[in-house]
Amino acid sequence: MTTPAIAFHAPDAGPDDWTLITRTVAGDRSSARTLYDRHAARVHRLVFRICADEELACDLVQDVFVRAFGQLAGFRGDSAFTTWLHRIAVTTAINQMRKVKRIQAHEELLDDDDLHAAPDREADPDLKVRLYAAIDALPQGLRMTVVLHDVEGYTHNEIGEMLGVAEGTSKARLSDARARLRVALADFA
Amino acid sequence: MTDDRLQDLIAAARDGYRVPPAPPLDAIWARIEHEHFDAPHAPHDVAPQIDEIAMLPIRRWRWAPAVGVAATLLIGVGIGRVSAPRIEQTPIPAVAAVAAEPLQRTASDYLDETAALLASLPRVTGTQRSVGDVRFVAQASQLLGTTRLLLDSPAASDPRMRNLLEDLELVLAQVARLRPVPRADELTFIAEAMDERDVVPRLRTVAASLSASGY
Repeated sequence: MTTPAIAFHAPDAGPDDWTLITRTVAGDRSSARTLYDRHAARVHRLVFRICADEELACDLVQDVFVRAFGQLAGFRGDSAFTTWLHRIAVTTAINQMRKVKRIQAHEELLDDDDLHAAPDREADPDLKVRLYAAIDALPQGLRMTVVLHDVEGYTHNEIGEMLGVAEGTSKARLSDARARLRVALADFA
Repeated sequence: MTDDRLQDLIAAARDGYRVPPAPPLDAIWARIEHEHFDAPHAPHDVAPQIDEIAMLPIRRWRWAPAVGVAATLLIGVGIGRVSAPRIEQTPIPAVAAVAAEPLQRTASDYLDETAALLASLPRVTGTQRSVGDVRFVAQASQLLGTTRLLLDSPAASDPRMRNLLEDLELVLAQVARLRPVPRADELTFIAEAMDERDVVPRLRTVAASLSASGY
């Protein structure tokens, strides 16, 4: 394992990520724990925003770090560790949700709610609530793109890496998603 | 609502979207520690090396475009025959059986080719050869197209077949996007996706059932 060209961001005191990775690969549990402490909350937030299920999000965090530690020896630092880790998180979350068919159930539920219908401002005046509901009502691929780009702040290049799509596809999905959101929120113009 | 207005709204509201409760990080760590460090085998020892994997010859890849066109035609014929108005009552079973033949044959060929492709896909990168070479990518792209045609065909009316096709669509899309020299995690993700959904065993089961019916 060689030192990567990319300098890792260390948000707190202590060894940088690359040092911790090297020690973790060598079997040092305390370094693994430090890596976990440094990144687990962000991973949890990310997978929760994908699955919206507290229990499943905790299971996913476990799966993500078990997989990440298992593959850590193969990490070469071609991308930032956080990008690599979050890619595992997104892939794991998508695979798991497909596996348990929660996507379909969730979408069917939202379809029944007909959230794209003309909003009733008397009953639901909160613009943020309407925005969140409109995001949740987007098809899975579009919602993932909005969450990763507009909520989590990833670039289209990073989103393409995470979702296994071209960068241009990510841009197109975001454009499509925003168009749908504008329609859903038209009454609040 | 303008795009700028929408972006301002999202920017102002992003911190409140699906805010998770505080996770039990210590409890999760205990499970991770047990699963990763206390497991009898290190996870990265499980995957076989590329040298250990027999690279099955993909003899028919040169015919991929022709196969794709043929598949499209056969599916079209199949759909047309199956969905055509039925005028006479008595011959319906025989007509339906004949109409399903091209589609079943196409599906059978497709499943065989997909099984061969996935079996020949290495799970880890190696130095022996470029695993993401044009053969894999080209054949995966062609099979991906056939998958989507089959998903829109009467073949997908069977729930078992539809579920399999949906999973194959995801896996083939990942294979079709492999770089000439794929990263280890790309292959790992594909392998995990296949393992988690038992794609290959299900693929072989469906292919075998089609073969048993004469295809």
